[in-house]
Amino acid sequence: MKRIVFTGVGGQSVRVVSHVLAMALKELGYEVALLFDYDSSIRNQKITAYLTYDRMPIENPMIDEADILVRLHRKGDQLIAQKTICDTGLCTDEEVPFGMMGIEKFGKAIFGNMIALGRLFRLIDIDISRMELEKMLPRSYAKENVRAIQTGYDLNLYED
Amino acid sequence: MKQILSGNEAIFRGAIRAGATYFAGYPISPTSEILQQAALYSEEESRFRFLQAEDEIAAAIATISASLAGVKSFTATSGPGFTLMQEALGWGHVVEAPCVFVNSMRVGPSTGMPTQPAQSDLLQVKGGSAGDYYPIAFYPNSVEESFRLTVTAFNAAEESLSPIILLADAFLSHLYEIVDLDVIETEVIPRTKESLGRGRRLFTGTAHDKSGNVKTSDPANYREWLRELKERHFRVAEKYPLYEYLPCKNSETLLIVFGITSRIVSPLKERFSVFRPIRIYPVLEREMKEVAASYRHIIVVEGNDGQYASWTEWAIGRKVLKVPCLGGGFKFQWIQSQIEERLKEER
Repeated sequence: MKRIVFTGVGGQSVRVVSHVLAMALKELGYEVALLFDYDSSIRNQKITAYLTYDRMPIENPMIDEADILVRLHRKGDQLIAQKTICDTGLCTDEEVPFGMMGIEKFGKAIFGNMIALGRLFRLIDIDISRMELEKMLPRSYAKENVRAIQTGYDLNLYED
Repeated sequence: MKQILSGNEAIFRGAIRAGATYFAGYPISPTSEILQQAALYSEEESRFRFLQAEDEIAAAIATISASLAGVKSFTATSGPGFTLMQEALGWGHVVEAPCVFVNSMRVGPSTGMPTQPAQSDLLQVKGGSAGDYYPIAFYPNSVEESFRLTVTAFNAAEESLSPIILLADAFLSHLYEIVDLDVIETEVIPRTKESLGRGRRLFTGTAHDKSGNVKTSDPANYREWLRELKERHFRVAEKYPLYEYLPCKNSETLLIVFGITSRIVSPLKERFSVFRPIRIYPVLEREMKEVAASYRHIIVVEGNDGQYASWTEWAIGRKVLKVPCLGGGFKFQWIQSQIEERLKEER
């Protein structure tokens, strides 16, 4: 069983990113539970997506301690996690300038979230090469988002 | 076909499976997605009618009225909206209108914490409207069960000739799981109540006899009407004694837990026995009494300040330990620590 948590603020596509991961895992035959917890003021307020996947049905969909926490904004939840990946300055584990990369490579910081998703796919050993990611994404910017995911997926090329 | 669906989506699909062709509602967290689904579906399917009403009062009355007009109808709301619907709910019981009211609970009272889960509308379910009436309410704990129990709720509505309440909570509404609705078999009870336009009908909240004559000072007529109503409702409720009991060998403690909190405490089933009422009201008195008799400690874990715990005490005739999960944000470790604390105090 793996427990993944995405946390950020409304407008950062936390829902979209976690939903794409859920669909990808479903395609691979996993059981998935995805639970959203968000503030009533959507824009710029905290949103957290709790995603659990396993080969067995998921009993508890809420996560106290994550295997991987993807932290996209300082307002996001600070859960205990085995590993945290985050945008620059938001954690001390694996900092990646997702937002800046989004601007540099795709013209907008928001693409940083798809880059983070790509990085997550790599960390949880999901081979995206044969996945039809475009079908799982919203139609607008689908091609750019696929490229952004691939960018994140390839990030390990820069590791030691 | 397997698909990822939310609790709200599953409730909507369940309503369609049950034969619903009318939805009236007013947007409110955490059930707005049901209204949204209904709006979209009404564009695809001309037989399905959708009304976004001016408020929950109008939505509830429209739902009951559509039922009286001969179709299977439903509405969806949350705590504050459910409060506004109470008068209409009472009317629905008097005019004997089969329909379904979905209430996905959030932290109250009043506006409270609109996106945070709670389980605090149980007393509203039991008797938020005036006078004596006998509601039936179900509360699922998964996306698949949300689908199944929506169909059950529509069936119970047809059998009891009354509005049935389907409970959920903000987490269950916004929980996505993989389900295959095509393989879920359901029995659907068709509409039997005669529809509007066929013969003389009286739709009044005022006491009346079977011929529709108003009887506002006839105690015998009222008593006979209420006796029949009560007998029918309890007969239908008895048909659905839905619960889950997971005994844990050598455990002296029984956890009573329902809805989403039953999922969150699931890791504890290795240590404690668990009883999950699915038919939340009428209370599963006989079943709880039988199960509780084997345990030294009974702990009710719920997203309110002891509403179901007090019903449990009434049902089993003993004091229970309470773990009220207040203010939303249900988490396993916190609940576990509260359970340990209660047991420590008890010892």
